[in-house]
Amino acid sequence: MWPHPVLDDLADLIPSPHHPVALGAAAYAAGATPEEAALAAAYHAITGPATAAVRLLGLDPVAVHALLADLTPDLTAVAAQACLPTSGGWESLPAYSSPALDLLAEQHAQAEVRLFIS
Amino acid sequence: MGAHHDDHHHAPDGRGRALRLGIGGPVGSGKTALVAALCRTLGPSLSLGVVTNDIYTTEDADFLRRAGVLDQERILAVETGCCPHTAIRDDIAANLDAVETLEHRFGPLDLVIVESGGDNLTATFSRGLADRQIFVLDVSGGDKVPRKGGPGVTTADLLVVNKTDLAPMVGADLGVMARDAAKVRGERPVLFTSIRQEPTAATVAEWVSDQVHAWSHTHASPVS
Repeated sequence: MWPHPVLDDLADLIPSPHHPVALGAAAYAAGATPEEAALAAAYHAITGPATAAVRLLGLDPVAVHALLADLTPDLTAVAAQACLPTSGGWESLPAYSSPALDLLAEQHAQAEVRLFIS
Repeated sequence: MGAHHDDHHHAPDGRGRALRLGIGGPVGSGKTALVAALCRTLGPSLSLGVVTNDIYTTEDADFLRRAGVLDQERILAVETGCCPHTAIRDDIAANLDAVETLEHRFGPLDLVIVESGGDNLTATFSRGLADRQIFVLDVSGGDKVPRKGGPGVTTADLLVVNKTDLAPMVGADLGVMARDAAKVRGERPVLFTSIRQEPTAATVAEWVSDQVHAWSHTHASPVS
C-alpha cells in the first residue's frame, strides 16, 4: 500500500496539503472507495472534537462515547449524501469545512490555553 | 446519556449520592498526607470512602491504612498501570467502579475522596468522576509553578499550596505564589498549608465540609 505514487505526487505538488486533500489521497492510496473516504472524513469530524472535549473540558467520557455511538446513523447518511453525485468519483467529494478546520488548527496552536497540538 | 444505551453508572445529576472529591497534583506534593488529614478531621462527623490511584502498587492505600485514619475497608486502591491522568479523565471506569463499590458497601456516604496518582500540571478530573476537585502543589516544587498555569492550577475548585514550612529553605516566595495563583484563578480559592506542622489541615477540611453540606442540600434524594 505504501509508498504510493499518488502520495508522492501530492508531496511534490503541495508539501503541506489541506486536511481533506491529504485524507482523500491517503484513502485512495489505501484502496478505499469514495464512500469509505467520506465516512472516514465524517467520523474524524465528530471524534476529533469529542476526544478533545473529554481532555480539555473534562466531559464524562461515557456520556461522550454514547453520544458518538448515537450519531453513527447520521455519519452513514452524511457519507451517502456526499457521494450522491459521485459519477465524477473522487473529484466530486465535497469539503465544505475546508479550509476552516486548517485555520482553526492554526489558531489553536497559538492559543494561550491548550493541551496538545496534533 | 444516549437513548439506546443502558449504563450502570449513576445519573449525571448525582442526586441521592455522596459528593465525589478529586484530589490531584504533582508527585510528592502532599496529596496522600492531605487525604489522611481530611480523614482525621472529617471522619468523626462524616461517612467517608477513599479511592487511591497508583501506577503499579497500592502504596498510597497502604499508607492510609497504616495511618489508621479510616476503617481499612473504606479505602480502595486502583492500579492505573499507565499515565495516572488517563484513569481520572479519559477512561474513568476503574475509578467509577471503585467509588460505586464503596457506596454499595458502606452507603449512604457523605463524601468519597478520589486521590489521583501524582502527575503533571495538565492533569484534571473528568466531571464524570469528580464533582469537585482540589489541586495540591508544594512550595519546594518552585514558586513559579502557579504562574505556569495549566488546567489543574487554573480550574480546580480549590488550589492548595502545601509545605509552607519549607519556603525559607528552598527560597520560595509565598507572596509571589499567592499573587500568581490569583492572577490565573480569578475568584477561585487558594489555601496555604503545612500538613506536617498542622496535621488536621483545618482550613482545607472546613472548605471540604462546606462543599459536602452544600452538595447534600442541593442533591438530596428525590422524595419517593
